[in-house]
Amino acid sequence: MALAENDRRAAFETTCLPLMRALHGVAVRLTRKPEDASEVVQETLLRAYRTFHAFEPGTSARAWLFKILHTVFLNRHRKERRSADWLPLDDFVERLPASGAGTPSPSVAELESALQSLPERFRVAILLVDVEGLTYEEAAGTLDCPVGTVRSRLHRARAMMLERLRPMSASTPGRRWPGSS
Amino acid sequence: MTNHLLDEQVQDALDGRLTESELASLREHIRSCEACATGWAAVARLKQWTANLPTPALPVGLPAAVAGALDAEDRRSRSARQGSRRLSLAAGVAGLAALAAFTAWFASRERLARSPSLPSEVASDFRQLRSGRLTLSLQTSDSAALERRLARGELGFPARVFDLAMMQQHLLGGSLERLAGRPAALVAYSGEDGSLLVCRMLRGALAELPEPQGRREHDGIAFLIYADEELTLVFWPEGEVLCVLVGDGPADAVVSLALAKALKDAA
Repeated sequence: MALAENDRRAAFETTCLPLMRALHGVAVRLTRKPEDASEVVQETLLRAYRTFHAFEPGTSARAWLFKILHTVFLNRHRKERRSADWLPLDDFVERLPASGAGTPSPSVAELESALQSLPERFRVAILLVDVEGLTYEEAAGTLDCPVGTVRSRLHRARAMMLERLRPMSASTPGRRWPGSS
Repeated sequence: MTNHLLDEQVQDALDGRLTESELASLREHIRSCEACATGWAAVARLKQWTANLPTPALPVGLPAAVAGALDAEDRRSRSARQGSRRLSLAAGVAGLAALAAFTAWFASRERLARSPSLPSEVASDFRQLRSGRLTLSLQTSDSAALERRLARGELGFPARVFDLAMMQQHLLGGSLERLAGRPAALVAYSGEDGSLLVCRMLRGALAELPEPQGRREHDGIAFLIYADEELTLVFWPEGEVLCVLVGDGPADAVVSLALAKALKDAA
């Protein structure tokens, strides 16, 4: 794709910048630090802009950007991950609304807390497929792993989420939860 | 189908990865098996909950910071095409050799005490700006426009705003934010690596600062250097005005930029 500079900028702004909020959402939930998330998003978009010539129009910009974001995240946080993996995102979670009284579903804060408790490789699978709506194939491309790995991580991730949320949901008496048997 | 469904079958079904006939078979089983119907419902609910998680709001300054980084990249690529390699860190490079030794020494020094001093106040403002809790009143890449805006305030001295694009620092904008109870200018830049650089200017003198972790003298200008966790702060005087450059990039890069900016200011 050979674009003049102005065209390249315009195409990038049209294709990629509308996804900034989605990128930030994933970055916040990956880094668990809103300040770090902004830096990850900025670096992601700058890298994407520099390599925009390699983006194929018609393919998923969302999947392409998430792949860059995941790489940026791993590069920046690989060393921190081990020690920080179980730190709650207190500031972020405290600002989330609770669900309405009387509803059987967990509150947003409870969901976020359960999500944050997952190890990174499982958390990212849920984020990409369930939160951001990527296909297994797109998630596999993002994470640079086989589709089967996405499938198994997603299965484990959902089982862990359900296990953590079980006390908050009253509608499953006496029944095994997927992945818990 | 008499056996319970496998969890993987439930997952594939809910993720749309089964054929119509496979799905029909599963549905048939679920209609007659309460246990599997419950497990199916649990995963389906979880998918619905996670899909409906609200997307966190963007920090106010992030779109501008991204736009600034893209502008800087455009300028950098234009510059590269024109072969303008001579647009380098002219003044910063002059002190680079000495900085290598300084940086090694600097890294070994103790961190700045968390006293309510001017350096810690500058560091606090920086972190608030980086996190979006403090916003720039004028977001612009036009240094002249920002200078004009700052001149309309209560500073009492002309605040010069430099285009540091040649140093890979893109102007994000600025504000008037009081510092140590005095009117002060705040000018923010973004580096290509996502680092943030902030210049503060206020009436004051080096004498009011606590003991620094490092000192430099360059072209007759004294520089006091502090570290506050991940931040590096460099103070220097310009007549009655006290300037400080603070950044979260590498310490030697922040010091280089301060030297370069001080020389520009003095020119």
